[in-house]
Amino acid sequence: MKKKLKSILILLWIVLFYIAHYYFEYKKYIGILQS
Amino acid sequence: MIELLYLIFLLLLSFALGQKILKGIGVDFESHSEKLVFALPLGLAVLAYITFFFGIAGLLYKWIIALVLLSIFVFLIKDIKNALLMSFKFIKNTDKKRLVKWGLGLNFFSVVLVFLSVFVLINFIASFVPPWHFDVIAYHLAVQKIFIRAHEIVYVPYIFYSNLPSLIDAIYLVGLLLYNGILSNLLGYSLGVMLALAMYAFCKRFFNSRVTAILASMIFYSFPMVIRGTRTSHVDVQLALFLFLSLYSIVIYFGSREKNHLILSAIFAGFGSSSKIFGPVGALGILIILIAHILLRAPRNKAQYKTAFFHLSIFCLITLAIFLPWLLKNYFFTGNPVWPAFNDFFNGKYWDSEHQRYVSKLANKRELTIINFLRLPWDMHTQQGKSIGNIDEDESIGPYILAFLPLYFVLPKKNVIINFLFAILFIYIIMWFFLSHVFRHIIVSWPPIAIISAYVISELFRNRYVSKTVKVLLMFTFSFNFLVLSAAVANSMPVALGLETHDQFNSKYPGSIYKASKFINSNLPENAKILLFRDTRGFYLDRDYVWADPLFQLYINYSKFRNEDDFYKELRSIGISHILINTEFEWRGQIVYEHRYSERIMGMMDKLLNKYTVNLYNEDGILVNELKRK
Repeated sequence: MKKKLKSILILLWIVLFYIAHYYFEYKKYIGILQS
Repeated sequence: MIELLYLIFLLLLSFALGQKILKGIGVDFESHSEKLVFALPLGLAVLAYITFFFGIAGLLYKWIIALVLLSIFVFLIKDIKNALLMSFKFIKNTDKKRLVKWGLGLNFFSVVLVFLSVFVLINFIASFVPPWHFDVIAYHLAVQKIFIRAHEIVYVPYIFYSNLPSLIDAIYLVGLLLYNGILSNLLGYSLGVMLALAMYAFCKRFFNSRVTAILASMIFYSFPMVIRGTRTSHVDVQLALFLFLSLYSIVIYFGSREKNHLILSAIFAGFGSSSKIFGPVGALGILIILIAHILLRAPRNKAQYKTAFFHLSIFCLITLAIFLPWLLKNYFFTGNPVWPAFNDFFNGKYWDSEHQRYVSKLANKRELTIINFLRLPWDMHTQQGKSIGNIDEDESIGPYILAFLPLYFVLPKKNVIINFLFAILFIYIIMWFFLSHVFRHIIVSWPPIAIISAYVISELFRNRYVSKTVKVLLMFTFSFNFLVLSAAVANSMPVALGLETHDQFNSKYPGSIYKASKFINSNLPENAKILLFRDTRGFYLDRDYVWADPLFQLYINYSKFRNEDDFYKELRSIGISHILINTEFEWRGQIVYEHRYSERIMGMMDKLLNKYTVNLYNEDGILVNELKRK
């Protein structure tokens, strides 16, 4: 149970910071894609 | 395609020369990949130094350098033959069944391997594009072309960057001198591939994990900022290679305590220092780690103190000896060995503390507060700090920094190499905090970031609850970065594949400045001397030229001119016959800039144009005017 909880927290952490990165950076990426 | 023949010749020669030097300092790697990643850059850097010394001696002729390279080739023919035999043997001995299983089995790692191969292949094709990126045609290759035209490495007082350490540009000089700028691109590309391979070899040696090794290479090679710089004649990725190889050797030294790996580390630290103004900072980080290692081992007696001091001295002396030619060049040209730093102290030419202050301010806009230091990981991850100057507006390296690096601390098992990489990362971030807010200037930290991320991800794969989601997220990032790469090279593919001529391509990229340069080359006399005003891209000019940029040079010192008459007199006295003006030049969204093209300077130029010049060319926002004789 403890391992499962730890895994969920790790996943949440990764997904959260993935979203944070792409949320703040998407305009720049779109700029590159459009160039 | 002749570039390819030159490239094969240079790479074979570099590898054989590098192998010979490695043997000379008593370093022998068992793994083929380690042999390659150390020998090839080592040999190529030595060839660049040879060309540099011939340039200093005024012997920068294609036939002389070709003859020298051929002589080395003949001298090393046995080693080259062995290298070729080794490659054939390696291919023959590769366990084909395993490779097929690896390649064809549809698993995550074969997909990553395919991604990596596609990235390497696309970058290779995209290297066959004539130079057009701003920095490349403003100084990386433009300065080398000035040297080639003069058959000598000469003092160029009006191009700021020509007086900075530039070993990688000297590698590009070899390419440009022997054939063209595409050969320079291909040499830069080869060093980029070497870095990906070096990271693979590093992970294979220290973690004994092919998974971590391939992931680390792929993560690094697909960073959007690496995508931008790895197939052109820029210097950042190549600088990262030299410093990573120094780091790699020092880690081997920490384990083996063999002096020869320390020497190798110092050689690459020297190459790194000689490559860019931020190179010595990278080398200093490695020196700090070496000192910390020696102190942690706590010498117990006089003999151990002596050995520690001896090893430290070896590292410093070799690094300095390799860096020394650049210091001497600067000393003889400018009077200041560390130009443009400490210029008032050395009383160096064509620079002052005011310009130094502006340029330093450009490199580091951040306020040095604890809050700004603490928010650096967030700013590097999201680039949000650009509004307050904590990080520069630039491309990023992907979502790895905060998504994976902190998770290392919750892993049950810690690894001494990863601890070491965290330590060096911390040192680099501290130094970067005080020196620059441009993320590219800390490129030396990106290989450690990629390796730590790959290590953490490999460990997370052991957890069945996490594994699948992480694989999906990584696939998303690699696919996304593939799109970024495709977008970045889309315009280059027709010319790279021979479907468009170089002239057609350059008429679009860089476009107006290329067409104006063509006009100048065809219509102006051989002895014409052009002032580049509001543009610095002189690579395509076959005439002498001078940068007019008020921020990056003091050869033309605008503060001395009271009016357009003084300006005109100065231009005549330095032999300027024509002025090229890019009326569409803007810098960070601004045309008029307090410390660059100020209203006073722009006004003075307008008056000078009206009073003292005749227009010869006016297309796409670029004017070429002839300076009247009084």
